[in-house]
Amino acid sequence: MTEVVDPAAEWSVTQRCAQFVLDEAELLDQRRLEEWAALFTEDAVYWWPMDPAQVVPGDGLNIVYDDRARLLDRVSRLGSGLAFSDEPNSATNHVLSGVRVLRLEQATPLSAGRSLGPGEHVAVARGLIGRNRQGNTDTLHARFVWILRETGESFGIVMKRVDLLNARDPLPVLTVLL
Amino acid sequence: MSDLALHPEALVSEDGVHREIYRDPGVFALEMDRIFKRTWVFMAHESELTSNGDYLTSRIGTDPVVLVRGEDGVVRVLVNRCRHRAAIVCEQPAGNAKSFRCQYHGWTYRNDGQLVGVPYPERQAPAVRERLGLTALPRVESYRGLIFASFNPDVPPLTEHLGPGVIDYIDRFLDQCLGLPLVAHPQVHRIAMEANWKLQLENGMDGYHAGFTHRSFFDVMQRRTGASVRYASSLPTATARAFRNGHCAIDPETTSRKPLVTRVKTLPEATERLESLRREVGEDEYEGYLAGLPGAGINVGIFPNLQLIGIHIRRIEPLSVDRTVVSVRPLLIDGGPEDVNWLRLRYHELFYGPAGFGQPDDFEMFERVGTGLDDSSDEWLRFERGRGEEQPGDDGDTLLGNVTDETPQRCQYRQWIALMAPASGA
Ligand code: FES
Ligand SMILES: [Fe+2]
Repeated sequence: MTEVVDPAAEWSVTQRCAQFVLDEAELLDQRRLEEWAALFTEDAVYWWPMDPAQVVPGDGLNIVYDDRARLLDRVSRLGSGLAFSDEPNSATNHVLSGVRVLRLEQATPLSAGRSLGPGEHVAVARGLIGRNRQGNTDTLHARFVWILRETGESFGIVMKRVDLLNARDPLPVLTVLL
Repeated sequence: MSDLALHPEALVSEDGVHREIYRDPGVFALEMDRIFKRTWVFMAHESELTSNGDYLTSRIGTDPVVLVRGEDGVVRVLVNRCRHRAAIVCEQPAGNAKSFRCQYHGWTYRNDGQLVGVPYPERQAPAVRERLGLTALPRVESYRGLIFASFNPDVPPLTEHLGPGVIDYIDRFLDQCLGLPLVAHPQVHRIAMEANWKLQLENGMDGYHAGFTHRSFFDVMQRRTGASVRYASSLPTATARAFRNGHCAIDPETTSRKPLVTRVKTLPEATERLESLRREVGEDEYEGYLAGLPGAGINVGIFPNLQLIGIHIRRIEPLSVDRTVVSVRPLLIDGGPEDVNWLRLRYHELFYGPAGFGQPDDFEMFERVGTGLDDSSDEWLRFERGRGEEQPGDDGDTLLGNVTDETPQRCQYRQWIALMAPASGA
């Protein structure tokens, strides 16, 4: 049996996902970090790999691999005033490209090798993140992948993957959320 | 050469160093010559080069080199510089090759350095192949898989240079998990900083800073584990040790080992994976694996560029007087249970790397020191803690201080001065 896709419904999913990830970036740029962390589901992974070909978060050495508990630790550290590499705090400016929402019929690298559950969508965007701290401004380049799960009104983030363009190079200190 | 570089001994006193030791480009150039070309320099773990033909590019000081395992199985260190007009002959970070071709004019070198191909040889001066192989470093030796090289043909044998004091500590580090063999993870965290390399040299052996620089990390761990633990302690059993030739160690083990294991239990998937490990290996081995999972709980420093900390090999790579790359490469248990190695990576990611909860704050301190060094009203940095209080160790090879003493830093700068002298042994 072939699935009948309603193009209007598809489009509305794409728009809702795009709106959601733009709102998410806005929370980061306004440094509303606890609200940001609350967007993640209980089973979430927040992940910055070093290898763009890596599929499963645990399979390699990562720059960031947070389950929800570690993500909350990360946010609380940043809010403690004692994460000295972010004192005084940096300010960020996320510029996201158009957001693509993909129809994935089966597990693929973009879904971290898992099949999507009911009400889950994969969104992909490219981004530039300006960062300012202590008189220096640098620019990070990244591809973002989200697995978003429908919660009725909105979405929860099941996975957010950040592939830095220079992830395999020597990196500056990145005490920041992307 | 700058005046300062002419008199390096004036930059180090018995209990401090002058600010220009971190700032003067002439001093840096002299360090590359007299330290990185005179003594043993750590290159890689042998598990990074397992098959014949495996190579990786690196540097000794600022000189580009290729480490390569030849067809005879011997690891050589070749200068990565074409003998014709200086282009590098290998541009990849790592790989496998029988030969290296310089792509500028096509000279080809076998992976033992021998020049084997020169295009249009009829116009070339005679015996070019015999004369102009890649420069091979005269000395390459390893200790338990740690490969060192030296430009200095007269450097003493590696194990003699290390000496029994620090070898004991290297052994303890390498035997950290039930004495099982370790392998280097193919991926590595590398952090670039705008600071002098010696700030990392000092800091990796600094038992004084952790409770302050890393307070946010300890706070997070305290909230997660319910246990209040700080790194530094004034207990006499927590020691800092100076060995010969600038090598040193800090050893807070008696106070810090148990909390390390408690921290393992906060890692992602820890509950499921530890349970599965227990089922796989049985109760006794389980306790052993758990104790060794977060490393040996000691920091071992081999002058000038190797530190063994946690579960990783740290290599300090100076680029210029104010630019340095620090690489931290995790070690896994060779053939060990998947759950152990998986959790070791999570444990490492927690503190280390550009976005870890600990290491970035060290780098912040290096940059803060860099700004403070702009002041010229006070020219000295002080390494005087515990001086005069140290005890000789029973092996006659060791000076013993408290873990928060600046015993290791004084030891490192004694070796710095010894190597920087105009004529020096290694
Ligand atoms: S520089 Fe290498 S062949 Fe000319
Ligand atoms: Fe530190």
